[in-house]
Amino acid sequence: MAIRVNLDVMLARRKMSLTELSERVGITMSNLSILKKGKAKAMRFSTLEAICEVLDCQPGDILEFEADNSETPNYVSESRR
Amino acid sequence: MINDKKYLVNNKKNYRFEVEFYHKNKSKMKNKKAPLSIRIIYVLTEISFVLSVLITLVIILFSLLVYTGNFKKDFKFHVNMPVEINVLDIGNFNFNESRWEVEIVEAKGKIHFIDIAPVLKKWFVSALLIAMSFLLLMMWNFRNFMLNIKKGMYFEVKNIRYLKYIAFTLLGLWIYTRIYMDIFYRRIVQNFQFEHIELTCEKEDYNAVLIAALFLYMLAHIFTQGSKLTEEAKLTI
Repeated sequence: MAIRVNLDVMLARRKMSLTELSERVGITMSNLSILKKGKAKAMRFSTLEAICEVLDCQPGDILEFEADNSETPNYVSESRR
Repeated sequence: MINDKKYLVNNKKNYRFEVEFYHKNKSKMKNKKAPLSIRIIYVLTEISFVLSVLITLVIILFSLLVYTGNFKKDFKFHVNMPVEINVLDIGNFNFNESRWEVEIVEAKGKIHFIDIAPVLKKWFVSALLIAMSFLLLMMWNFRNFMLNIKKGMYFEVKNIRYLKYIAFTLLGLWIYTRIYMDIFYRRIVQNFQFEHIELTCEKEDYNAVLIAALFLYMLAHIFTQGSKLTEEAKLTI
């Protein structure tokens, strides 16, 4: 996956549990778990804003782009056509 | 172009995750009651399915009797076969206090075998068994599909499979009916002799079945797109 979610890293830095974040942000544990595992396909701005506010960080601290050579991104294959 | 096969394979990989997700949201799904129309269709489907199973069992029993030669003569073998007929008769048409002369030239009828040769009995029974298997298979898949719809599981991978199975079964039924009708008209209808009417060899094409099969296949593709969108919505946090 090209975008990596570093939620667990930020949680460790802030010494906060997933349950506490879930309560403070207002997102269910299952949804946070999806996000943490990297199974999520998209993230709403409102969610990102709420998480950043609670964890007192920037979106870049949670999301990280990781170049993945094994998979060609969609926009590249689209432009080749 | 989106590759549907690749999508289905990827979905199989994520099946475990989907099951997990389903169980987490099961309680929410249960609270939602299906619309009345869906519930009515589901009940009708269940009744039709049970009836088809019963009819199939009767046909199997009937076939066993025919194959083993235990079909008693006093229990006559009745078969109705649709045929096109060429007739010529003159009649009158009364309308607005006037009378016009009219003639009837073509008609549709049914051949009613009062009793037939054992070989033909077996032939008809086999044809009936094959047609019933197609119908039962289709009914089974449709029942499962409706069960999922009733549960509120619309755009599921299983539903896409069910729709495709129904489409292929209908296509198979259409091909089988065409072949059967061809053989039936070539081997049987030409050998009938009646005094006042002539049987034509025009046969029913059952194109509605083919159109239904194509429509369902197209619907399966729409469901694939729907499934992708649902998955995306599920995984958008």
